[in-house]
Amino acid sequence: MKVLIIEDTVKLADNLKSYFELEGHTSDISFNLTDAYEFYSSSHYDIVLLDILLPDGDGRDFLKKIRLKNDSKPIIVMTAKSDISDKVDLLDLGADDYIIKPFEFSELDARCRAVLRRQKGQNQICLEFGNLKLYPLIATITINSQNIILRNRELRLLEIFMNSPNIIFSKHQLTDRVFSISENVNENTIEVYIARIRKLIKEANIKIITLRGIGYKLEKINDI
Amino acid sequence: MIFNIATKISIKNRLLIQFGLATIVISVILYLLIKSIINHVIISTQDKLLSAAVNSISEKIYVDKNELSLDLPYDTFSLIGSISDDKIFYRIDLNNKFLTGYEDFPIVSKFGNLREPIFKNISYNQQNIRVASIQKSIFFNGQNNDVYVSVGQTFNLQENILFKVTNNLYFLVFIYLFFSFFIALLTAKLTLSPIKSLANKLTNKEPNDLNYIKDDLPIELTPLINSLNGHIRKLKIILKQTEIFISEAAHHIKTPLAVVKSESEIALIKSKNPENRDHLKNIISSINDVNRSTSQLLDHAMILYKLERPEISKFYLINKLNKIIEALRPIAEIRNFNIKHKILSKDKLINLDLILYETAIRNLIDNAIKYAEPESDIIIKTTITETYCKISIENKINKIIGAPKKELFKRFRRGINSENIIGTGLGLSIVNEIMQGLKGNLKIKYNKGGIFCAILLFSF
Repeated sequence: MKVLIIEDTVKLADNLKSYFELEGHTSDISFNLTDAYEFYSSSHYDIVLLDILLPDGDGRDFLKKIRLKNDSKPIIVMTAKSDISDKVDLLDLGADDYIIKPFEFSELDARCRAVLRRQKGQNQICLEFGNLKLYPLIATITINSQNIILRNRELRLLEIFMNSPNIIFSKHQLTDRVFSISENVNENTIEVYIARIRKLIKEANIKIITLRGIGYKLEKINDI
Repeated sequence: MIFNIATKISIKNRLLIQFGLATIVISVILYLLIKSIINHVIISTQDKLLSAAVNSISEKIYVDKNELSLDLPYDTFSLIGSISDDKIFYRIDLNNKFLTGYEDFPIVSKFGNLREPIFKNISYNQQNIRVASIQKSIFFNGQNNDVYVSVGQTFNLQENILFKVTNNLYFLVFIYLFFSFFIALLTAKLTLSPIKSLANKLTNKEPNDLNYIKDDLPIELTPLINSLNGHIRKLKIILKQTEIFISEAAHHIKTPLAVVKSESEIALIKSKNPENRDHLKNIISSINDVNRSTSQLLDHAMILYKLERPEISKFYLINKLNKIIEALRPIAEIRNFNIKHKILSKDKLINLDLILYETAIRNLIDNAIKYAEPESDIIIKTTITETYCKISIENKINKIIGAPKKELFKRFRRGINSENIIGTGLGLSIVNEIMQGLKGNLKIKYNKGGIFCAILLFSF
């Protein structure tokens, strides 16, 4: 996924970029509207994160211009305002969603996912490993033509493994990415979800294996 | 809102008392004046009659053969007597010696002349008598002799007339008092009608109606109207400043918080040292706490502002509710909650302040997400009738709230199940204040199976 971050607070923009890179996505940063128009016209983005108060104008103008061109690119507005009327206006202007600063990356991730899901419908991105197909935007896996619906955390966890098969993830890495930081979660909780996924994918020719004291990784059964 | 203000006598009653007192005083003065004039007229008439009588007597005194002679004018006495039932007394003295008449009739000390008799009131035989006296000099016996003539008359006529007039006067004064009171009442009513009209207008003015008062009112009320309009202007400015402050505060507080939080999250993702991770988690937790408090305090300030200046708009209630749910669904999904919306009625176009409505719903769903048992469902049920709407939000809780229901509506009051959950205790109090502002109701119920249920009831 490629993300355009339009945000004038340099540190916040950098941190958003770092987060998307850690998640395996690419991103560009624009600190003002002028650069944003240039980035937008010269490259393809899957989603745009847009701040409202920018040094050379109002982020809403960017939104209006894009929508006037009948461009339905997913745009999530980042706002610090508490006023809901402002958010209602944003949605009326064509924003797909809004997120209130300060936000957790997990919430941003969930909102991006929801927006993309709404936008793409059944034309989903598909991650494939072994005989398992994962459609993250509709939270469904297919094993031997059989569909199984996943709950959010199961999806998030499996998506991490499917994006990086054969890579070892420690418990805390998985916990950070699956749970919200504001939740008081014991790192052992991840074991419950690993067990659930193992049960869901038992018919597949892939398996999550435990590396004692190190973490977990997804491998094809033939490789084990 | 009705304030208990210690009220003294009303302006109307004050005016009536003042008018009444003035009328009574005027009535008494009029009564005394008329009585005095009538009395004066009667006395003048009586004096003229008595003057005529003494003159008539004095003219009948003459000297014959060096002797003083008198032909009493009985026709004069009968004339005076015929006018009323008054008794007539007379006395004639010559050189301070009684000559004829009533000997015991008191002699006066001063006498007038033919043109100007002296009149005096005296008491004789326990009767009040009006006396006219003159002195006349007659020359006989080779010298000037003084003849004193006094004619007295009782006050029967005067008293009778006065009695009759007074009786009529009482009646007239009563009629005057009655009409004066009626006119006073009418005057008070007419005088107070602009004040009453202004008072009614101010009473019926909605708390959020900040329009200036521009009615045509008496010039005496101009300072009051100017003062009221001045207060309305100040209130408008304060409300505008509040709105700007809330907006700016949100931006200036939340943007740095967003930077700190994102920095901490990136550091946490990259950190492998358990000790550092714990520290970073604590930092993030504190930021969340600060953010939550700030957001809800700003929300609260915004709600107080909106309750003063609601902006009524038309929208489809269920459609808007679905949008709010969709906006919150990603947050619910992060925690593995599923939000189910059971629509029990047809959607309806309603008139309501959208921000107040959204804030109430958002806070309740937000609460449900925070306190629901992991991986449970949050169920929203919506019923709309012709006049009201009922929205219930249910979630399973695994701990008891541990506080009386009403206590939860108080600011900064949280249940014991809120331990380790970020929050301020403002959410339910905000919703409750919104419902009070919308003349609705917020109810909390604990249903079987550990279900916490918040119900919003409001008309539109």
